[in-house]
Amino acid sequence: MNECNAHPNIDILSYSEVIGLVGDTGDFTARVRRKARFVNEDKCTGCGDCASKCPSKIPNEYNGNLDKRKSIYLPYPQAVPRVMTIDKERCLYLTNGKCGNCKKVCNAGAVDYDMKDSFLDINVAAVIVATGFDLFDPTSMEEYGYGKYANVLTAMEYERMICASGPTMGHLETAPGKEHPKKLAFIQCIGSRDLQHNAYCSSVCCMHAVKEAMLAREHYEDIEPYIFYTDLRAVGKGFEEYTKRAHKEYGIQYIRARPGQITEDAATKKLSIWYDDTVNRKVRKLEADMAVLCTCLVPAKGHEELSRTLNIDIDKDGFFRSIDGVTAPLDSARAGVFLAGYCQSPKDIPESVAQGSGAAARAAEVAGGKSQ
Amino acid sequence: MKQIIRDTKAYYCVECGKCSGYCPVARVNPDFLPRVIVEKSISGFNKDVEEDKELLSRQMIVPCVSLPQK
Repeated sequence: MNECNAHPNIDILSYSEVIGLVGDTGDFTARVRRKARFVNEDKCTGCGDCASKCPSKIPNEYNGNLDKRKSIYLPYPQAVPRVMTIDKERCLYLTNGKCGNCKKVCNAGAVDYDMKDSFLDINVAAVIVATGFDLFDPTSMEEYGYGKYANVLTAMEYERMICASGPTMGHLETAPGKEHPKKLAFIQCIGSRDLQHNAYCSSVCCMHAVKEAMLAREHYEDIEPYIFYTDLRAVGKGFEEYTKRAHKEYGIQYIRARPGQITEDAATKKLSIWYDDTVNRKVRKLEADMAVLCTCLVPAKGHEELSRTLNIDIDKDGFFRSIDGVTAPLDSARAGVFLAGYCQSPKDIPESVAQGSGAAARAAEVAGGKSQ
Repeated sequence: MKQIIRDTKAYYCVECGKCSGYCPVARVNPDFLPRVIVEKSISGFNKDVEEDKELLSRQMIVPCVSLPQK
C-alpha cells in the first residue's frame, strides 16, 4: 500500500466517496465527496500525540470491538495515508464544543475543527469498482447466542485476538478468568448457504477456519480444535492437502454437522454445542470453552447506493452484476466501468488479485483509446 | 408427500443437521431425527416416513424454528 501511495502516477483519495458519474467510456466525469476529516492531510505527520491526549473511548472496529480507540484515530497502524481522522459523531468538541485537546497538542497545527466536506470533479477514462465485503452480523441468529454469551466470537474477533499486534497480544482469552480455551469449536456457514439469510457460499470460510484452527495449535499445545462443517469446500491448488495436513499434523477434528444450538453454563461460561452427527446419525453435545462463528461475507455497506450512482446492476445477493459471468466477469453493464474482487462475487485473495490485474488491463484498453 | 416437499421447499435441504441439533425431542429420543425424516422423504422413502410410529405417535411436534433451508 505504501508503494502504491508513493507512486508518482497514483493519487489516493481516502475518506472520500463517488457521488456521481456522468459521461461515457473514455471520458467520464466523476464527482467525489471528500469527507471532512478535520485534520489537514498535508500537515499531519501521523505522530499520534493527539490520540494520546484524546479522552474518549470508543469500541475499536478494526479489532472486532475488543478494545478501545479514540475519537481522533488511525484505523490501524499501517493505514495509508498515515493521517489522523476525527470521528465527528463521537468527538467531544464537535458534538458539545468541549475539550479541544487534540488541537492544543498538535505540533504540526493540522487539526481544523471548521473543515467542511469538499467536492472534486475528476475526468477519468474508466472506473474500477472494488468495494469488497462486510461481515454478516450473527446477532439475529439467537440459537448461537452471539452477543449474549461471552465465549462466542466471530471469526474476525478471533483473528484479531490471536494476532500478536491485536488487543490481547496474541493470547486467546475466555471468560471468566482469561485462561486459554482447551476445546475450541469453529462453526461454518453462519448466515451463508442458508435461505433465511444468504443463499450463497462465502467461499473463503472453510480455508480460513482451518488456518485459524492451526494457528491455535501453534500457540497452545494442549488445545483441541474442532471444525463443524456443512461441506468442507477446499477448492484450489493445495487446499485439499492443507486440510488433510491440519488433521494429521495438528490434530484438528472435522465434524460434519451444522450445530443447532449453543447453550451456556451461567456460572462457568462453558458452552454446550448441540449437533446432529450426520455421519453417525446421533444427536451429540460438545462441551467447548470457546466457539468461533465463521460468518458469511456480504457485499459492502452502501453497495445499493453505489449501484445507483454508477448506474450498474446488482444481482439478487447484492453483488455487482457483470454482463457475462463466464466470458466477461470484469465488465459491468455500463461500458467503461469494471468490477474486481469480492464486490462482484465471493472469491479468495488469489482470485481477487487476478481480477484486479484483469480489470486494470481492461481499463488500460479504454484509457489507451483501443476499447473493444 | 410430493406436495409437502414442494410447499416446504424441502428439496433445498443440504442435510446439515441443524434441525436435529436444535430439536429438543431428538436430545432425549435417539430414534427421532428430523434430518433423517427429511432425508428419507426427499429421497423417495415416503412409506418409511408415512408409517413412522415415532412420528405419528407424537401428539405435539414442536414447530421447527431453525431449519436453515426453510
